[in-house]
Amino acid sequence: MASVVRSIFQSIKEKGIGNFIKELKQEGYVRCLADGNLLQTKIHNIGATLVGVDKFGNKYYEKLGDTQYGRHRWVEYAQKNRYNASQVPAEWHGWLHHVTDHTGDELLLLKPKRYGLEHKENFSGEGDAYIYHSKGHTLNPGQRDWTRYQTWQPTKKE
Amino acid sequence: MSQILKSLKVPPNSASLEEARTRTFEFFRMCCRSIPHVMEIYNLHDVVSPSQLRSAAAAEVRKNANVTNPKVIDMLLFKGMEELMNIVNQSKQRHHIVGQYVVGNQGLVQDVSGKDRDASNFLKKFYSSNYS
Amino acid sequence: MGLGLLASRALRSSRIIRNSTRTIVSTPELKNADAAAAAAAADAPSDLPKRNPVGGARVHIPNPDDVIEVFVDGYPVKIPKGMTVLQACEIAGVDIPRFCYHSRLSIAGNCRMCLVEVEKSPKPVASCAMPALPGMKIKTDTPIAKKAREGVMEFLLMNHPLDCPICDQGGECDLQDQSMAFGSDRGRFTEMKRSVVDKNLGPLVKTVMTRCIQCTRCVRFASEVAGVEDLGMLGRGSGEEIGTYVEKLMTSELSGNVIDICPVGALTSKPFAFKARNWELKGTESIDVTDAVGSNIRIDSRGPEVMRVVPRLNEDINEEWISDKTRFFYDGLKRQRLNDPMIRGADGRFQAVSWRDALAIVAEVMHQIKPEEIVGVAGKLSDAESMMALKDLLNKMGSNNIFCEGNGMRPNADLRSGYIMNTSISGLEKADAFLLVGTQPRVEAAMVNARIRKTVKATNAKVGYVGPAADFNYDHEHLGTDPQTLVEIAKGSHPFSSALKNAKNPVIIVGAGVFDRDDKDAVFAAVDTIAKNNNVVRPDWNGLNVLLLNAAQAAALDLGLVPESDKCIDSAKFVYLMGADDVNLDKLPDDAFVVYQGHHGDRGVYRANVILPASAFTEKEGIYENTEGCAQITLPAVPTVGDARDDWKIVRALSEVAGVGLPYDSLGAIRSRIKTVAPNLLEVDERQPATFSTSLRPEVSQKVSATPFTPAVENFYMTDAITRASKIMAQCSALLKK
Repeated sequence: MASVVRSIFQSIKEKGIGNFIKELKQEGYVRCLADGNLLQTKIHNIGATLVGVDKFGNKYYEKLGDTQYGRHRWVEYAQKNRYNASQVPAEWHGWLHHVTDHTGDELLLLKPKRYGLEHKENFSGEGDAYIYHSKGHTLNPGQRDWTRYQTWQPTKKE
Repeated sequence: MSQILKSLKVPPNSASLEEARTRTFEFFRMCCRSIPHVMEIYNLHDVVSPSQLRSAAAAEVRKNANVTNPKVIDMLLFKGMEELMNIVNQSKQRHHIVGQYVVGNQGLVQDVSGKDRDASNFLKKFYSSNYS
Repeated sequence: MGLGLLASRALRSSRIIRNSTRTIVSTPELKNADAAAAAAAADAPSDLPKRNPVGGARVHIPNPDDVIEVFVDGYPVKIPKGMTVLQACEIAGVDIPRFCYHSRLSIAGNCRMCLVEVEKSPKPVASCAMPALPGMKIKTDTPIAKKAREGVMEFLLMNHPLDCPICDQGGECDLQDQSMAFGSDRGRFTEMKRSVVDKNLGPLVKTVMTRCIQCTRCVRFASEVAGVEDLGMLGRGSGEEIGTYVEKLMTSELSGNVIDICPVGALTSKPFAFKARNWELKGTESIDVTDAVGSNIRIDSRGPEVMRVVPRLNEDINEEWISDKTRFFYDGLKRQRLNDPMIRGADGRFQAVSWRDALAIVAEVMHQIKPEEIVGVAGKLSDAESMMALKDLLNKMGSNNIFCEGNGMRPNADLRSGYIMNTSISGLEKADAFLLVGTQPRVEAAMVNARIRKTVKATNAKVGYVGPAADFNYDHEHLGTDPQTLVEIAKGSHPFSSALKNAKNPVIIVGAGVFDRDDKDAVFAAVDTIAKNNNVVRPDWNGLNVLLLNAAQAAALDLGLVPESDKCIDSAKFVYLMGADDVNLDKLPDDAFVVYQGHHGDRGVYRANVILPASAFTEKEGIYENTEGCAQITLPAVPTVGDARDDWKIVRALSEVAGVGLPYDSLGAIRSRIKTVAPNLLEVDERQPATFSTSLRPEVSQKVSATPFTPAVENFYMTDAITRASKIMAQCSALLKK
């Protein structure tokens, strides 16, 4: 505990108090006050090893030794106020869920990507814009046109 | 609303023309009372006003103004009641109401100017569609 | 047909109901009341049921001495000498399965599907290539014949892919049908199927060469009918394939017909590929209006869309072929359509209005203008009814300035023989010398050209051509480029005049492009002189023809659409364009009011003040007269688009709004009006020859000029509003235009 306090003072000295508070905010320490879940993760992080950071900025931690087996890998999401499990990209999913011991970065190196879509988180409940509508659906902006002929456009000049 | 209407039923017979007449007025009043509810459940506020619907109902009643046989009036009242029940119970859909009572039989495009009054049958048909 | 025959055979073999049954053959007896066929059937032994010729086939016996008798399944049949066994079987009412045999092409005999048993012959014989001999006993449903067909079918299916579910031919495929009727129910083939590289034949014909069964119908069609030696057979054995020798597109104006004659799905239509299945389509028997031939077509539509166009059999006009323009222009019907009445505002922009307003404005303007300044122009695709209505309307307004584009400003509508094809299209086959004046039939009327080519191939007829350098697919002599050549021929000083003189049935064809020439009367006078000197017009033979360009021209001249003055456009204040896009409006005064009534936003609309949307020929019923004077009728296949109306209805409605109501308000009534003007237009599907010959023309003092003839059609694929809107036609003209 003392080492934590010491390191805090250390960084205030290095960056100045303004920058320190800004960083606190960015890293989600301020959010911790309202979000117990995040706070627990932060406490958990103390003494853990940072295994990797994915392209979205999610941080993957591991702590072996005194942690209960099965709880020794976890993620701290990049987004501090709106996070869910679907933000973990495919390459890190295996590591995080103990499917494989290869980290996401290793997997990316191991298997160059030839096809496949960019990872997209699940936007359910995030508004109409994120809901999938099939191409005949009324709400699909590119709704199929059932007119079987094309009209002449009067604005077009010869 | 529908609960009230369920309890009110047209009795099987009217003994006299006078009784049938009273019943008709009762029926019309019932229609008028149900109009606000109908406007609400079918979401008709943007297409029609209550008074227009009232006059549409009145027109339906007046269509049969020449009927004098109490038995026939009873039958028509029964049909009217059935229709009203269907509407109030939302057994119909919005476009039924709009089509039958808002737009009416004349169709959406009504010639109010009277420009074509002396036009021939051909021209009237020509204006409405290529196939008629 | 094959299945019906099988059914009838099944019935026949059951002895109990034999006497009371008749075969189920589709053709009613009315259609083939030919004496010989009837006699053949009547002679049938009393224990055999009566049979009718297949598909209404008729026997025409030119010389009674040449009749031979053969027996088909025990039926005696009388046929002329030289017929093949297959034809004899057809007359006897037996449908022989075939792939390579086609009645309009030469005989190849390489598919072996038509094997039949002939008595005293050790092996089954290919009936399509075997001449029938007197007393021949042909057996078509013996075990040997059946086994032979099964064997051939097994061989054919060996290398044929099983992709019927994704094949465009599926449902109208000869191989599919015949393997159902004649094939075995199992095969012994376990190896790999061969595959063949697809060939690129251009934007119209899609090839899936693996499906090809090497019937060579397409090769024979290309070299015999289309006159292009593009296709051929390469390789031997299982390496045999159809192809262009080097990578080359098929450059023929008839190339689409290989789609119809291909018995399998090897050659299919590229624009139609994967668009529809043939059993979803509704067929409407109609007429093509993209040129003056009036080819008989069937418009296949699904819902509101025209999906494809296929030919109908008409021996007198298009046989069973149609040109590529006719077959593939249909996508133009879906593009650039006018669907609302529009008025050009003060800012030069068009605005959609209601019919009521549009007609009111036109009527108002029409009344403010002096009658002699009103001009009406009928377009290339106008039907007779609408032209009649327009002429009546203008006459009621007091103007007589109405003409049809393409007929020139001084058309000669006095004598019908002066503007139609007097020989008739099928009559061209009797000719033995042709003189083409200022016409390139290959681009102006591809079906007429096919007929000329057929004649030239059959009889070695001589063809002389006067006009600009042009592409012909048969032997011809290019005599000159200007009308002076005609004068020389008329005088007899030209070498070709002796060929004309020696010919028994000479034919002169004058192109309608001549109508626009200033010295048109002199040209026609020279042609008349040639005709007189060479005995072209006789009581039994009229070889003096005019080949028109557009579907509306003949009917327009019949109805008397002749302008009062040939300068009427220059002084016009009100022009009514009824689908006229190619009329020259450069000289039109700027303050003239132009009404465009039509179905496509083409050249005509850009000058218009008011647009009245009309229906295209696939959407209305209308009479069209083709270049040989045969009136034919189009039928509506699809509904009109948007707010468009039929042409004659628009004119009729306008007349009423303008206060000069026309006295008809139905198609029947307007036709009875036509009957008083040109009764021949109502004789539908019957060619009405002209009554008088051209020798009654007035004397002409005009001299022919030295200006060379110009091509009347610049681009075969794009001649009118519909074809110009078509993407396929644009592609064709980019790739194939020579």
